[in-house]
Amino acid sequence: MSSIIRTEKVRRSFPIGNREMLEVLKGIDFEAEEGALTILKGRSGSGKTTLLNILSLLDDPTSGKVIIESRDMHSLSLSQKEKFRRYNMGFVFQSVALVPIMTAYENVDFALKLANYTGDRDARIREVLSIVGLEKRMSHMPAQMSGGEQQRVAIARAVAHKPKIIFADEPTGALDTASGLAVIKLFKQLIEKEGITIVMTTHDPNLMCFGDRVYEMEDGELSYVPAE
Amino acid sequence: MFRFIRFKIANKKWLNFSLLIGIVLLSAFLVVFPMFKEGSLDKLIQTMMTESLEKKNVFPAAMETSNKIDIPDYKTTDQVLEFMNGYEKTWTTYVDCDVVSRQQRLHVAPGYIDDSLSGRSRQFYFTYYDEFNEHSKVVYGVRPEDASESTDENVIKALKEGAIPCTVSQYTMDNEGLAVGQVFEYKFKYKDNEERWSLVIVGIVEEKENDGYYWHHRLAENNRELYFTKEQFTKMIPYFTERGGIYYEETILLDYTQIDSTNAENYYSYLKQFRKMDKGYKDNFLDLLGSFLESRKTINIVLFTFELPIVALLLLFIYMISSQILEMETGEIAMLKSRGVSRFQVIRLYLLQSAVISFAGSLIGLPIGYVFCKIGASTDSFLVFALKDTSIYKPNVQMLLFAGIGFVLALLFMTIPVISLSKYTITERSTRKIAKRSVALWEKFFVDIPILGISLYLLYNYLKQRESISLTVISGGSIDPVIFLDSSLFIIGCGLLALRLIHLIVKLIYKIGDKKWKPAEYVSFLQIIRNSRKQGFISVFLVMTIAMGIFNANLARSVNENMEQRTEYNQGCDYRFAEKWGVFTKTDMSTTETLWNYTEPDFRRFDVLKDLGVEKMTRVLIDNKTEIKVDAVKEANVMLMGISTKEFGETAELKAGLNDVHWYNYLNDLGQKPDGLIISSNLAEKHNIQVGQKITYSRYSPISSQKLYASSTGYVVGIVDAFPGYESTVYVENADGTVTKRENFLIVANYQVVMKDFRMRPYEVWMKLSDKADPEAITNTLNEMGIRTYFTQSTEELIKEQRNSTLIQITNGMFSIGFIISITVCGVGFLIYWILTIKERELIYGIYRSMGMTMGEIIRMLIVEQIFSSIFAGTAGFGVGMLTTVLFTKLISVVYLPRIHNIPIEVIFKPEDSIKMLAIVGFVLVICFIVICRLIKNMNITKALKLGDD
Repeated sequence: MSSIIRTEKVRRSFPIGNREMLEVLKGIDFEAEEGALTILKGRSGSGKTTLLNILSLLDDPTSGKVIIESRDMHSLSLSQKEKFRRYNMGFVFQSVALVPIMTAYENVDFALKLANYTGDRDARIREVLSIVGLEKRMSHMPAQMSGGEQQRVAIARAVAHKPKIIFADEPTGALDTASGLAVIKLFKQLIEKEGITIVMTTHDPNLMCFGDRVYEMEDGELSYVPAE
Repeated sequence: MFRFIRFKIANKKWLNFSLLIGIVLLSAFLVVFPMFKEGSLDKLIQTMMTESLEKKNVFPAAMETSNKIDIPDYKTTDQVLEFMNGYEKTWTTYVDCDVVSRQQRLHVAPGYIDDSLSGRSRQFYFTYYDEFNEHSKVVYGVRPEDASESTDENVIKALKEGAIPCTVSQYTMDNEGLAVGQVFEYKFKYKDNEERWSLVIVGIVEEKENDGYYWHHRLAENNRELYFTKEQFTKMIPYFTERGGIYYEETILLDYTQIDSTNAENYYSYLKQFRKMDKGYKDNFLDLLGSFLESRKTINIVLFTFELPIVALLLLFIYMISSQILEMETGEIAMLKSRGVSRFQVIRLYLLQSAVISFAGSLIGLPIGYVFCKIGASTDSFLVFALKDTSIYKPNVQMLLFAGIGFVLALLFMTIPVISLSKYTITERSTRKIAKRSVALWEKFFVDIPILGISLYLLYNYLKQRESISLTVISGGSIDPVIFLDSSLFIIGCGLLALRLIHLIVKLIYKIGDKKWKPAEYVSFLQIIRNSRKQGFISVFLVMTIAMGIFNANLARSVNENMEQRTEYNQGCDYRFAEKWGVFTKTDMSTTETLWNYTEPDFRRFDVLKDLGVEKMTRVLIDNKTEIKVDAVKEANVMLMGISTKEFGETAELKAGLNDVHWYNYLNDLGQKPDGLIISSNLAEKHNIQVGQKITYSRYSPISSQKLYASSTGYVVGIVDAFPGYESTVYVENADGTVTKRENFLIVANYQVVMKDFRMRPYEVWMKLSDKADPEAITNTLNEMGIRTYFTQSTEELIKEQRNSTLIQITNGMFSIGFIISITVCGVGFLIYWILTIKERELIYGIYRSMGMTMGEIIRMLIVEQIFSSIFAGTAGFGVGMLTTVLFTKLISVVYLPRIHNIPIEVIFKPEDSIKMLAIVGFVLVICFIVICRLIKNMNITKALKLGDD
């Protein structure tokens, strides 16, 4: 398998007052393979979300390179980055973050609209909602669904427009163990069915076994965790 | 507890600050009521008093009594005067005003006395005025005290023979043909003795001052009086206490500026008591106070009805903000409940928190209300402010009471939402959150429809009763407050209906585009459709504020302009005055008929006024008691105008469009035919008079209102609906205080013909002024020239007076303050709503951005949302305001203006009023929008997502 995302010596610092800087990422070299589940594990505050934001072009590194599909993302303008995100990436967050005024169906439809999806939108929505097992709850509003169900809708929304990469930041953080496991299984299923690459952060040690590649973040430094 | 409350307030400081603004405005607007009311009433009573002084030329607060003393205990003049002083003491104990002047007059009626010169027996009174010498001047001869210094031979001779010296007034001298040195013989029986007094006139006196203070009752009111010294009058007293008594008249003038809204009612009841208890008692301000008290009711009602909608809007605002705070704190409340805190304890906590904010708000509202009142009092029209003297509007104790009412109302509206929220525990809250409705209650239960129905039904009924409402107002009766409130009710009903329609339109537009909408529009539409309950609140504010603003601006404009147009029409020209002429009368001994002759003063004297900006000037003869005869039918009390057509046309003004053709055409026809007549259309209709028909018109004698003294004949050359200075309908007050409408008829003839046929009689002078002319300077010049006038009237000053009249001032003031408050509330509400919305949507915006949505798309999303919520609501508000203007202006205008007039009430809409108002609203919205955009731009996606995670 070839790598789809790669970083070279990525550093990220944040000002913390008195002209001092806090270095959150200390020269990260990261690599995620296409069609695989890459897991970033680490304690809270270790810098994994910062790295995820840089990988997903939501944030810029202070120094270093982010290479996606062999292109150095540093050369892209803000709007090019936005466009790139729009068509090639999907996001799943810990906070679920469905649009509360939209039904499950509309939430997915919104992502398709945003990505200018040219195919049969209705069929695609039904398809992804059925993958996440919510075909019967399409017309329900987020407030009428459980946390696990909402996260499944968020995953359906993230994959609907067939992105190349999905970034999932602690997608199981707000869920119970069973729902968390169901989400991971769903990710694996999607990788199989849709050939998507997933980069996921988590601090849950029980989920490490599902990763095709696992990295561990500690104090802004990344280390590869070999498979057991 | 207080620390916890302080923490809670600080935690949501911006929301609590908005709440404070709402309470400050509520308290301020409430305290405007007592201050504006008292100031307006004080202004009203002072205006009434001053008008009475200026127009009737009578001091407005005079109390007097007259009676006689026939008890021998009163032996001296001083004793009688002392007795009279008792009246003053009694009156001023109750009517506690300073006495600015007093006149004490004593007289006796001795019967007939013989005139030595003519030998005629005439009845004269022997009179004594206290302080007579200080207030009178000798025009010929000497005073009785100085009789020994007289150089008149007859006087010297009479004094030597023991005659008693006395004076007479100029008026008595002229009327009775008396002269200094004339001696009277007065014979009478006293205690069986034949008394014989000889009286000699040693001087002629007249009033020293013309200001009407001491001489409230002038000498001319009492003919045939001989004035004596105090000593002399004292000597006479014993003779008359047993022979008819001593007559006395006590008149005091009170400092009327001390009569104000706080004491008027008491004084009114005291005056009524004085009248009841003393048959000789009279005053000249009981009726004035009575009509003031009637007007007070109207002012109370008007102020109350102007306050109500704004207070309702403010309470709605307070409710909205406190609900918002509570909604954000439901979790905390539920948590407290789950941990065993009782519902009562939760309510008490919020009650205390509300009390702290309400108290602070009410307190700050007091000085702000003072400023609002001053601003309102300085308005000249809706949102037009002028530098005016507003010193009559003073703070008063009642303002504290109203601030207290504000405190209680705010407290209630802040605590009410807690009562229902405090019921739920954390689990119940979650269930409730899911079940939460997305549609507002009013929308769900169709509240707008019955409100609109009721308001239209009331409007229909009031329009049917417009004439009787107009008559009630003219006769000084109270106004039905529902007339005003109905317009607010209509605005609410129509505004809500408009919002319902907006929602339907948005749904329709959304459905039309359905799958084709781009992401930004797609989200916006869903946001508006699905979030209508929350957004509805701010839309209601916008609709109400703009509709009320538009309606108030148009109503104020219509009332002001209609009033000005009517004043200009009634006045007919820029400046009018009527000079007092001297009249010479004599009795024809053979027929006993009184003959009269007026001498016209030199008209060219007024040429000096041209330097003051008088461009044209003309004589206009006006007689309201002319009688006409058409065939055999008579019509009395017709208004006759005698004009010189060319000069009149150049001087007078008439609004275009009131007659079939331009009024100059009628003047031309009249000018070409010396015996021509222009008549009013109502006269033509009543007697079926056609152009060319002959009319005979007759006038009454100026000294005998019962006697017709000459007639003239003319031929109708034109029939007009309107003519400068002529009102076709007049309102006449009946004896029972009711007012009835009367047709007023007009005939206009050539001035020269009228003067020839009816002899010279006083006329009015009408003037056209240049733009730079100062009417006050003209009045001053007339006074300086020593020209005595019946009246001087400047159109400009009349309009200025009307603008300052109490009801107009209240309307302009309250509408302007109301608008300032509602736009502030609207702006704050709008900003708060959007800031909260954006804060709430921060995570969502982060998600949108992470999904690749550009900043431009997010801004576009907001713009679309603004267009379909704020802009649509604003447009609906404008429409509702205009519709309310069309439907209600003519109805509400009758409160200010008589319904029937040659210039019918017109709904006047000036685009600049709406532009000004919409510019203010637009400015507020744009500022809010800029703030919102900045908030979004400054939003960091990763931070937003992090916030969402937290």
